[in-house]
Parts: sequence; C-alpha cells; structure tokens
Amino acid sequence: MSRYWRKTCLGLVAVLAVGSVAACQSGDDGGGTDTAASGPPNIAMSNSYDGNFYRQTMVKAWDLAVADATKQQLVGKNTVVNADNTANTQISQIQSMLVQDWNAIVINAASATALNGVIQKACDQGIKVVVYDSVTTSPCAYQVAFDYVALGKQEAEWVAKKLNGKGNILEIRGIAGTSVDDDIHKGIQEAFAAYPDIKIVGEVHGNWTKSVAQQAVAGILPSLPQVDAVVTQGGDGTGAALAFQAANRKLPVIIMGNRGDELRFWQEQSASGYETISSSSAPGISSIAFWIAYLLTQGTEMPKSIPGPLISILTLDDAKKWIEATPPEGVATPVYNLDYAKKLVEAANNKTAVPDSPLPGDPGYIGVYS
Amino acid sequence: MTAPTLPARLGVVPWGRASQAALPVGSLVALLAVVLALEPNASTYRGLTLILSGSTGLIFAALAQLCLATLGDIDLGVGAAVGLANVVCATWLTDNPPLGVLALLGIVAGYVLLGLVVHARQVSSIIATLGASFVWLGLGLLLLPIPGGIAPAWLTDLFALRPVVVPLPVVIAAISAAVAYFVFMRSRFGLIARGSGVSQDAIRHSGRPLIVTQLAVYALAGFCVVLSGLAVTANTTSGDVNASSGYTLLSIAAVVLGGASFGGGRIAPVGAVLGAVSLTLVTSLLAFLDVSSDYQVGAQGLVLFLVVAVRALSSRRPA
Amino acid sequence: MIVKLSGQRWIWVYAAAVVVWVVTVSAAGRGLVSTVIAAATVAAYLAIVGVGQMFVITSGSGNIDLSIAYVMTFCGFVGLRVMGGDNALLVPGLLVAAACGLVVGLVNALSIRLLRIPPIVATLSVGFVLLSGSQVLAHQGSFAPSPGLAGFTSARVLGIPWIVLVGVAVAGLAAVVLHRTAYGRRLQATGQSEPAAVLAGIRTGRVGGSTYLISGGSAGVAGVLLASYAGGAAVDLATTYQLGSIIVVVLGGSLISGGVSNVSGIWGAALFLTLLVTMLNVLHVSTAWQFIVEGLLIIAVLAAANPRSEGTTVGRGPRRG
Repeated sequence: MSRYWRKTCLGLVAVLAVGSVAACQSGDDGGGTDTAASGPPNIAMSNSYDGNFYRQTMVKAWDLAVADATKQQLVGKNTVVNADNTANTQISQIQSMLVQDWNAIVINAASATALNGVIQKACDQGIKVVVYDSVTTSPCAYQVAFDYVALGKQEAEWVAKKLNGKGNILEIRGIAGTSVDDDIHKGIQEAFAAYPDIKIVGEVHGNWTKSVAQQAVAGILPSLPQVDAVVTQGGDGTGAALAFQAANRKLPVIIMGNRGDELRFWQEQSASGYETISSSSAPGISSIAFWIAYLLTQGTEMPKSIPGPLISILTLDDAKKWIEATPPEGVATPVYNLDYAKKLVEAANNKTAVPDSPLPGDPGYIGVYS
Repeated sequence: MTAPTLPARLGVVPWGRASQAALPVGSLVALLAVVLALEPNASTYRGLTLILSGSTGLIFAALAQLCLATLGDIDLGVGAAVGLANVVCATWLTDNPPLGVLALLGIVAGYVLLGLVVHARQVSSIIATLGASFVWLGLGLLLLPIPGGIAPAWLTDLFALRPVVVPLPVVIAAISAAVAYFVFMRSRFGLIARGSGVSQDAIRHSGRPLIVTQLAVYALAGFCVVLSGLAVTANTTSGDVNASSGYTLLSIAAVVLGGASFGGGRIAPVGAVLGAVSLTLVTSLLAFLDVSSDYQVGAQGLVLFLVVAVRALSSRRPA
Repeated sequence: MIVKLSGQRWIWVYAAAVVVWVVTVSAAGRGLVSTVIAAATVAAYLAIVGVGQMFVITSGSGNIDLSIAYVMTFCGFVGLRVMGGDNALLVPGLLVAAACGLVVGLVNALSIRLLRIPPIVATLSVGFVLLSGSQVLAHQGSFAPSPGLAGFTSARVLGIPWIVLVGVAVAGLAAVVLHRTAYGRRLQATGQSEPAAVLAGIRTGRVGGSTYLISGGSAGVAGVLLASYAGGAAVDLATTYQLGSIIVVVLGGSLISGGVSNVSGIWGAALFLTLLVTMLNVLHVSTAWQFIVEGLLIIAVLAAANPRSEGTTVGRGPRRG
C-alpha cells in the first residue's frame, strides 16, 4: 500500500472515531426531545470557567442538587457546559443551547455585559434564565448575586477595629478588569476611608490563586515597611502567609477566604494566639441558582434580584466545624436544598434579611464533600 | 509583469491540488455532520445562524493572524487587540462616532508601528506582539475598567440582518474567504507578501522596497482586527477587553487547521476561514456532547488533535 | 559574530533588570539586597522552565512548547501524590514528577514527528488533556508536599535561597550541554538549517524530538518544586508560565527561529520580568498603566538588544518551507 493511502486510511479511522463517540452520545439523548412540554423541566448550566477549586466546588454543589432533584423526579434533562473563561466562547455555547429544548438556563457569566445579547435571545424564546455568582446586567435574567462590596467592607471594618484604627495594610486583589475584583476593592476602600491612620502600603494582584499571590507578595515584601494586616479576596490567604514566613517577617493579620487550607492555617496559628476571620461567597450558590431556575419553571413569582448568602467565619469554633466538613483543597459551603431556596425567595419578596446559611451539623445542612 | 525569480514553492499552496483543497473542507464537513447528528434542530436556518454566529469574530481574527503568517510572523496579541477594538466600539463609536473611527484607525496605526518594530529593527514578532498585547489590554482597561458600554444600534441591526436562504454567518464567511483569496493568492500585492515570507532576498531583487509591503500587510492585519472587534461588539452587545482573549490561540489554531504553516509564505486564506468555522463548531459540539465537567477541556484537546492529525496525515508533503 | 551579538543581548536584559531594581529600591527606600533575592526566588522557577523551552526553540523555526504550564500542574499533582506528605518518599516523588514530564514530552515529540501535527497545536492539545487530568486528580484527596521539600524551597544557604542555586545549576548544565557536547552542536546545527544538518548526517528528527523530553522533564520537576513552595498543588498552579517561559527565552537573546540560544540571558530576563512586576507594584501604578508600561518595556528591551545592522540571516534566521 502506498504511503498516501496508508495515511488517508489512518485519517478516516480518526474521523470515524470522533463520529462514533458522537453517535453513541446521540443515542442516549435521542428519545428525550418531546418530554420538555409535559415532564419535569430540562435545566442546563453554562459555567464560564472550571479551572480553580472554588469553581470546582461550585460544579460539585450543582451536581449534588441535581441528584437530589432527580431522586424526587423534579428535573428532566440536565447538563453542565464549561467555557474557557472568555465571553466569546461562552456565548457560542449558550447559542448552541438555544437550538436544544431547555426550559431554563443557569449561567455563571464570564462578563458582566457581554452575555446580555444571547441572554435576551434566550428570554425571547421563553427560556427562564438565571445568572449567579458572576452576574450580568441583563434586564430579563433573574440574578442570584453576592454583595461583594459588603464582603470587602466587612473584612476591612474588622481589620480596622482589630488594629485600633491605625496600621499598615497590604491589599491583595483578584483578576484585573472583573466586576468581582472591582466590587471587593470598592468595599475595602469605603470602609478604610473612615480611618485616616490606616494606610494601604502595598497592592498586588493575586488573581485568587495561591501561587500567584505568594509570588507577588514575596516580590513586594522587601520594599514594604512593617505590614500589620493583609486584606484579601479569597484563595490568596495562605499564599501571602507563606511569603511572609519565607521572608522571616512577623505574620500580620491575614483575612482568610474560606478555603480548606486557609482555615487549617488559621487553626494551626491560633495555638500561638493568632486571631483573624475568614469570609467568602459560598460556592454552593450554584445549588440555589438551580432551585431558583426550577421554581421559575414552576411559575413561582419572585423579584429579579435574589441576594446570595455570604459565609463569614468569625470564631475559631466555627472554623473548626468547617474544617471537619471541608478538605484542604475545598471551599467551605453547604449544598442548599429546595426549602432554603424557597426561604430565600420569600425573604426577597418580603424584603427581609437573607436567611442564615446552615453550619455543618445544623439541621438542613448537606455537605459537598461528605 | 509579476515579480521575477520567485521560488517555485510559492505555487505549492493547499489550493494548488484538488486533494489538498479537500482537507479543510473535509474536516469542516465531518464536524458539521457530527454536530447535526447530535442535534438535528441545528440544521434549520435559525439553528445554523445560532451555532455559527460566534464564528464571525473568529474568522476576522484568523485572517489577521494569517496576514502575519504570510510574512512568517506570528501574532500573540490578536486577542487583546480585538478586545481593545471591542471596547472602543462599545464606548467611543457609540457616544462619539468620529472619535471612535479615529481610535479604530489608531489600532491600525498601532499595527503599522508594530510592523516597523518587527521588520525595521528585526525584533522577534512573537515577543513584539506579546508586548503589544499588554499595551492593548492596558489601553482597553483605561477606556473601560470593568465590562460595560453598549454597541452602536446600527451595528447590532447590521448583524441582525436575515438574508434569504443562506444564514448571515455563512454569507460573511463566504465573502471574507473570497476576498482574502483574491488579496493573497491572486493579487500582485499578495504575491510579493508571500514571496517576502519565503525569501526576502528574492523580493529585494525584484526592486520593490520590501518594508512597504510588510507594513501594508501589518496594516491589513490591523484592519482585520477592527473588523473582528466590530463583530464581537455586535455579538456581545457591549464592551469587555477580556472577552476575546481566547482568540489569540484560537486564531493560530484556525490558520494551522486551514493548512498554513508559520514558516512564512505558505498560507491558505480560504482554509483559515474554514478553520475558524470548524473551531466554532467544536465549541458547539462540546455543548451538545454531554461530557462530564472535568473531561470537557480534555475532549476539546482531543478533537483539535484528531482534526489536525487527520489533515496532516492525509497530506503528502513533508511537515 | 554570533557570539559577539549574543554577548550584547545578554548585557541588555541584565542592564534593564538593574535599572528596574534601582528604581524599585529607591522608590521604596529599603530592601537593596532583599528585593533582588526575593525576585530571584520567584524567577528561579521561570528560569528552570525557560531553559527547557529554550532547547525546544533552539531546535528550529516553528518548534515551541505550549504544554509547559499544564505539565507543571499535572506533574506537580502526581509528584505530591507519590510523596503523600512523607519525607521518606521525597526522592521517589521527584523522580516520578520528572518521569511524568518526560512521558508528556515523548507524546509531544511523537505527535509532532510521526503524526506531523504542528508543534503549536500538538502541545496545546496535549496540554488541554493534561488539564483535564489535573482536574480529575484534584478531586481525589489531599496533596500536601513532603515537609522536607517544602522547607527546601524557602531555605537558604549563606543568605542565598537553595532554589536559586538549583536554577543556576540547571542553567549551567544547559550551557554545558549546548556548547560543550556533540548533542548540543547537533541541536544548534539542526536549528540553523535542518536540510544542511540532514546532509551532514545528523538525525534531525531524533535531535529535535529529544528537546521536548528535556522541556517536559524540566517542567515536571519545576512543577513539583512550585507545588511544594505553594504548600500544595492546585489546578491553577502554573497558569502564568505558559507564555512566561517563551518570553524569557526570547528576551534572553535566543532566536525564536532557532539555532542560536543564550542560557545566561534566560536568568536575566526572568529577573527583569519579576523585578518589573515588583517595581510597578511598589510605584502604585494603576493596573491599566502597569500593563501598558510592561508591554512597552518588553518591546523596548528587545528592540535595544537588536542592532539594526544585522542582516536577514542572523536577525530572522533561515527559513524552511
């Protein structure tokens, strides 16, 4: 056989391989097309990014909520599609979803505005759209949003009190050009504005990533005077701590961000009297978004904006409870159930406070990692 | 009349022989067949419009990449440059059209300047464009620190056009492929540009100032970046400097998928357009295949790998 | 002439690093020596993977390894998994991480040489598959580094961090291999002109393919070291190294078209880039301007290092169809 034909055959085999994987797949879904109208709703999630522990915990919480719903026969077809953290890819994926028969699409958005066009298309088609965590400004979508400004304010307030209104601060920020980073930074600045003797002596971008934060802090530390506290955005706390330790500097108060390793670091250091707090948005919010989407397909009335629960761990005792429930590479969060989602909707309807997120061991608590 | 003594291998482009022309078409058809088998609804006019409307921006980004590939250069800043164009379109072009047009021309001028750095000072294009990508990104952030702005109404309306029978994204792909083919493969300009990518000496002997052609190619790349920015703005209805960062690697993949090499001179404009459409289909394919979350990015890698392996293996010329 | 030219580039990037260092220290008013030591600690990882990337790039136009960041993360996971937080398994863990990188390098080399997939696409797709692998591993329990290795990454001898010494040793070894061995000469010949190298009887396929093993192996080891330094592996451990490894090679004076490489320049470039980030942070420059200044400086350093007078053959490298 000539070289040319051998290669052509190889090529054909490869095409067939791709094709047969796809064919098997279509066999699974083939019958499901007309169930949409009558049976339980079909709910899809478009997730902008899957590449860190926070987002992976989020997908896991979604899967657990879906499993719960499947057991109660509350959901039909479902899927999670991850993009590469760019809006263009995510738009293409959601547009592909629009040719399928989804009743609701749940979105963690790569951009606050870029998805508005495709979300409008989905709404026009009668699909319920829920955006959560990194939300969008689209008027037709329902939002389950964290108040990230409040998160920044809370940690800065605590630090200012802890330092008696006087001290040097290092601020670790997230990814530049994102709304989440902008909001937390805004909250921190607003809170510190009331304390003239608090000085932000350094600012680095840690991209919510331990190794990036660690290297950025290690680089800037020799240029900084004594640092009394570090305000963070989550995922960067232990990175900062390791950088301080490696430079043989006194460990400042570092606000932690609910990652398993951060909580463990706090616990280890507490033996020598170290005090801090830890707070972050709850990645389990994906399960809330799932139930909100379910409730919308069932015709439940609710306002367009539902506040998501923040998890603030203010005492070492609570931290220990969360450590039990969270592996080092996880993020502290419960999986929320339908009841909690209903309570949230009720609170939003009546404009009352967000119901308390269950602690490990509380009734109604479902762990992501158990 | 054409430049003399061009190396014979300029003729060896993937459109010189029918068997090679079939390759990018083949992989596109195969992908389309799989997508349609998975989701028959996608075969309608509306379905095709939906799954392909993301391809327009990538097509122009791929053509920008192709311009540089013609000279043997590579553009690692195309995603950020499109992001900047997108931000300009969603802010200045809407609020103050003359200023917007001026700023977009500024991006084209930026590419000419980049061409000057690369070819007059012999700086490696890979680093010059990477450095430029930081500049594009910074300028975009200055203009619009967080996502926002709004697309001009005329632009959104233009991309909402629904031509008879053939969906708009297909029309745009066909027109841009045809124009690119004539510019690069049939015009004297294209011949000299490709020639300079293969052997600068040969072109020097043709008596034409080489740098003029090289700068013109960079300007053309800048123009394609602007077109891509316009398409992205229409698709996203707003501005976000990070929205297009994936275009850098995707545009390179599209050009390679289309049959070009980054060694210079050997390019395939129609193939690059088909490559961009194919990559958009891969995105749809992943949305339709119910792959578990952890394995999705790996599946994308495998599909890309297989498609290119098929192309490379069925081609007879040595790599 | 090439030696002379390389010498000049070598100086330029170090000069830039020194300028940035001086500006940083005078702006901060402290940390003359500690700033550069901190930067060297961070730069060491970049230098190690940069050396691997340099071998790949040296082997000729078009050869590039985009899988480095993914190899670092994946092999970091694998290495820590073998160690299991136990000092007794430190050496096996390091060896497995290196082996992991070598295997990935072999897959890259085979895809490029046998399947004829362009290096950019081959290494990127292999990287994507590895990313999936890392995500799967991340769900399978804890990955604490062995305390010995974690301590090593921040320990110092005579005030100099061990990791910096490792990085310098790797660069030194690379320089010896490149300039003093037959393999190095074959590699450079292949990069300068593959057809000529073939005529000279060099098995260019093997020489070129082997560079991906070097790159993979060094990325594997750098990955497990970085994961230990960071106190554990994570899926986003090494994202900044994908393009970083390329920048240091080219800024350091190697030609992207292959054939000419400069090992000491890699360290200069890694130091320059790290100090640059510190300087912009210290000067409180807004993020947007940080990007703009960083981009312009990178272009400026490279433009300054390239004397205009050099003709096509040196500046652009030989072309192959």
